[in-house]
Amino acid sequence: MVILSILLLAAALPFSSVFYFSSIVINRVAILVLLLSSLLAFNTLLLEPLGVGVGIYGGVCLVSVISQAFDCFILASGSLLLVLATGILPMKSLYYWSSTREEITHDPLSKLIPLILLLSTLGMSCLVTSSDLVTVYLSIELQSLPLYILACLYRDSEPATSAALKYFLIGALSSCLFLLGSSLLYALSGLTSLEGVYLVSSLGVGYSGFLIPVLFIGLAVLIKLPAAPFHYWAPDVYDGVPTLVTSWLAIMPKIALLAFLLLYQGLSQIGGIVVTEQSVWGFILLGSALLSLVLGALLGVAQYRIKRMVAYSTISHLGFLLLALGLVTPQGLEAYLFYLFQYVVTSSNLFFVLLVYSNQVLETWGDSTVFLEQPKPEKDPSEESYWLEGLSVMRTPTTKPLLISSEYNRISCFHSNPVLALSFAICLFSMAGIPPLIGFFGKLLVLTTALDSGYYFLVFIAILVSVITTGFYLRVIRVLFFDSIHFEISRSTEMILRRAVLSESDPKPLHSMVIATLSLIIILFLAYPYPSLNSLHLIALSFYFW
Amino acid sequence: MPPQKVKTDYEPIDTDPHFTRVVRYFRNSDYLVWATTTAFGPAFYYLLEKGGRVPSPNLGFGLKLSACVGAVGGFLFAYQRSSMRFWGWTENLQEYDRDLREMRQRIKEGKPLYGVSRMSEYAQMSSSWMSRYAALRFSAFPIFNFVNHNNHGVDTSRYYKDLENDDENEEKF
Repeated sequence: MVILSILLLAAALPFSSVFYFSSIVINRVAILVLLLSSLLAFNTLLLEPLGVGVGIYGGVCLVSVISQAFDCFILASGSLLLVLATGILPMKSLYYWSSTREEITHDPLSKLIPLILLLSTLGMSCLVTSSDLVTVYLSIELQSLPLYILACLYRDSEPATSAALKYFLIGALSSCLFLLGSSLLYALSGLTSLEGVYLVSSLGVGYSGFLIPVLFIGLAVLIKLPAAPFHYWAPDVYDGVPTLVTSWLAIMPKIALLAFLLLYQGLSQIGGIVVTEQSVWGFILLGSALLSLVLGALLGVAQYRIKRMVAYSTISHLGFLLLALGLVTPQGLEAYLFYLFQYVVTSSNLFFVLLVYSNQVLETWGDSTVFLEQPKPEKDPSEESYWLEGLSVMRTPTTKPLLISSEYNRISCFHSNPVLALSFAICLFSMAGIPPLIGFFGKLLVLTTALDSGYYFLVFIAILVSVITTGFYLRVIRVLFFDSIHFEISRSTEMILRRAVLSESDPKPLHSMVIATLSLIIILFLAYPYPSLNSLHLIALSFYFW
Repeated sequence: MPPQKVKTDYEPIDTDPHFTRVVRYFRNSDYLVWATTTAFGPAFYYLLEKGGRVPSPNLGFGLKLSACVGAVGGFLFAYQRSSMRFWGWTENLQEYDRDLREMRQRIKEGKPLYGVSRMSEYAQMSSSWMSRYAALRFSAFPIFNFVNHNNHGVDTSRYYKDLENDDENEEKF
């Protein structure tokens, strides 16, 4: 479905000048495509026949309950995140130097963005069903290459270009490690099928050397995630790229890569055959979880830019996910799946709110004659882009770096739309793990499972880290609702802010609907948790016992 | 490589049915699903149009494009449902009887069960590897079986069972 639609849309693109359609049309059709694809994946989610997994395409793909569930989830999440790009305004944020509305609407590159995202989603969808080293590698590249293109959309902004280059180079390093591991595995076994490699390695009596390639592949995935201690690229990249792309980077590749890590568990147990009773890979996962928890929380506290803070928060969440994954028990898997689900729901909602705030200022900028007459910024393009990023943080003339959201939120966000500010606060509370929101149950499941498995030290650290991360979430909430302006703002900035307050730039009905739905899921999960928990329980059991 | 045996609730008819066979075995409910999904495409697009508050310059084109996508999606849905009945994953009594009738008829007429192919045995086998259970991944890549191969993963002896009795019954009738 996805590949057919990509071809259909690609064939339709050259006729845009004939039929006079804009990027919005392509974007909306792309949402429909992903939604239908998600339903197609859901339609085959049958427990009994898929229990042991069905090999297809000559054995290069393995379809199982868990892979179909992940496929369905990835496509549905992609569809939801594409809603972020509906309407002209987020597109304008990508092309803020375009001088006229006409130019923005008919920019040929903007029409390609939904197609690029569809290609990336196709790679993710393939990754979760791949059972061969070649298809795994191709899927990882297919999901990454479109994202490299998207990351470098701000070609005239130095930080944005730097972030895109960094993302590309890190991706290349990860691919190199993956290829090295794959080649070594092939050299040792003569096979590329993951199941075949597993069988061959299981037959070995002594140290077979399989551990090293398996670790290389695992590390390559950890770098891409980004889990600590390989996380240093993430804050720079998340901060530098457009918010629309950040939302995609922070959510979509993570689901696919985490799904692959889960499916990779079988192969990674190879390390445990000879070296110790527990697999070496398990220790690496738990070590990475510990570092992610600690570094994500400690470094996140020091951040004053919203998107950098979100990046460190993501790393901290990855710590919880890896902790659940490293337990290698059905309960751990259940906790892992639930944590991933709540992370996607909460993060999506957070980015929706951030983009809506971003649009408020964008609308003001878009209507401003000053903006339209202004050429491309020359002196400090980064500052310009940060403004257009909405809730990002701008460097101010004062010596002390401050949150732009402080004055901006008080003036425009809270007073102009208190309900939206409340949704923002709910997201942050959920991420902090405050009961009775969905984030609390995610953390609770992971920690109780880890306690049952005897990882007392890790649980202690995770609780400590939760308290620290709560601190930096609460700091944003304090800024959002209580802070007053405490630094001087320039005349032009003040004008923009006042216009933002005065403009009737409420979120679009569709965005409001999505934000409201996600916020209700976050709040009301407690009221009816059984469908989601029971489904995840069945999926976890099917993975271990079928 | 023999076809994988999958534990199913119903008797499998064919694990890699030919494209035309799958389409011929569509039930009315499949056509209904196809029509509903086709209509869902433009309806969903219109909802996004109204909800987006940003009118697209050419609404008609968007609706047509979404109807195309809806039609493709609807066909894949219907095909997937029909395929799952062939595999025995969902209720298939109606199709089972029809298949039995048709195959016995072919035997009586002296035709090969699954048609004739000009491809080599190896090519037929390779094509069956690629298309068997491929409807499971329709969300990403739709791959259909257009080859009349003989690797269908089912026991064909049932088509020959009681065939003589059937002939006698028909003669009596």
